[in-house]
Amino acid sequence: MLYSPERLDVESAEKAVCAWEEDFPRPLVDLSGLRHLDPLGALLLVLEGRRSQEAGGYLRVLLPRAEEGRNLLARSGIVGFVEGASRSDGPWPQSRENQRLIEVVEVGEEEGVGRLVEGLTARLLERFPLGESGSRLLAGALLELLQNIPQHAGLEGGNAVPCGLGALEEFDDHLHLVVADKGVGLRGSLSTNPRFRGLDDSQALEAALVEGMSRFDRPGRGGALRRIRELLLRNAGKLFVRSGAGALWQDDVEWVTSAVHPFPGVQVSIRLPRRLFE
Amino acid sequence: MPRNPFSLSRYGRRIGTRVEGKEARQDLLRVLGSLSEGSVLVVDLEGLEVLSGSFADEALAETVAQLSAGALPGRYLLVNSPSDGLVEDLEFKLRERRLALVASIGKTWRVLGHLPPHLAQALEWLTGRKEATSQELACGLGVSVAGASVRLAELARLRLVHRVQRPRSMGGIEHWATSLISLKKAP
Repeated sequence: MLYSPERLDVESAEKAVCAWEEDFPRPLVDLSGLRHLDPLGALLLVLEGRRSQEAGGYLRVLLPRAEEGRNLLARSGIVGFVEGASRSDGPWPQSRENQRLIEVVEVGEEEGVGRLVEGLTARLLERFPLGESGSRLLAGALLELLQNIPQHAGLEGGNAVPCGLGALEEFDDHLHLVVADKGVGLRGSLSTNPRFRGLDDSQALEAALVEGMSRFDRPGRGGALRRIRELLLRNAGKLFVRSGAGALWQDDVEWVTSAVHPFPGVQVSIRLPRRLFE
Repeated sequence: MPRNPFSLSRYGRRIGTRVEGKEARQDLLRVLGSLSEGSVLVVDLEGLEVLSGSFADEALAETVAQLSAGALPGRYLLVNSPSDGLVEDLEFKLRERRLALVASIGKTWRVLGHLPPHLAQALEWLTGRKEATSQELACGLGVSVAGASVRLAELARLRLVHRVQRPRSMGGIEHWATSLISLKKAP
């Protein structure tokens, strides 16, 4: 049965990932009823397009029927990233850059990460002032997560082009930051160190996010994901990290790992309460 | 002790990646190497909004690690930060690596990173006095001269104090240590 979601977001994206997989590398992506798209849903869609293309396929997209959904997609910031990897039932809706709801950037070399963070933070600052601690938390997390992609996601021996992306959206009560790639994943990165061979995806998530492990043995290397998790704990943020066939949710002081439908790479979703920035 | 400023804001307001941190470390080591023995390089964080853990680890923690391992004898590193929050990730990295670095924050100072309590106590006492011999430290802390001497030697190895040997008027040598900083300890 055709999966036709109204929402493509942190809470609902799992079903979509599972549905897309059935026809991979020519997944049918039904956005005809779309009414809500968040940065995680948006980046998963871009990554699905890239991996379909690499496998010789493309996304088969049913575009939103309603004006509301077409506007949402147009302003999502992903049309330019997805259009070329898809065949759709009509022209993709377009919007001007200054109308975008989600800021999306693509990560190349590590040397470019600083400029990306500057650009994203500056665009956010234009819209509303960031307080000192909020700015530090947001820009710090962006710096660490984006540089993780060139450092970890495309390790030699992995056959994937990591395709790192970052996206940021502001809501009335929170900011939503997502950094995603389709590289080797946390298990793939950790397993280059013999100490971590044999971990499954959920165990790798726990090792990185709870215990602060990394493929490097030298103290001081790695640990960024745990640090971000701890900072979110202190600041009432929400964290969702997906890697391979595992996911870790953190809301308030509770965290839990679970099995999810396999998808390459690591996708990190951070939601920060807006009061932090005021 | 001669103090030389080194502003990290030259690398940006929100720094940075490991690659950028490595470049900054090369600059820091080059400048440190150009200083005379007994000099302090004050890394100024004024003007920064973000100092990421990765940058801090490569630029500062790794430099501290090299100094503690014996590189560039007689040169010292301090950090001057406008706020506690800015050095949070640096402190985290130093703790992970069991290293220590003195930071002046506003009008106070504190040690960032890992320093055993007996060394922290000796450092605080010495900083209050500005300079002291092992014997004076022993009296001040109520420990043996040998114990005080070991404390100063360890603080000097960690490049948290400047320590020199000098001949005693009564014969033999004594160790004499100088604090890198003359501020009040943070409460």
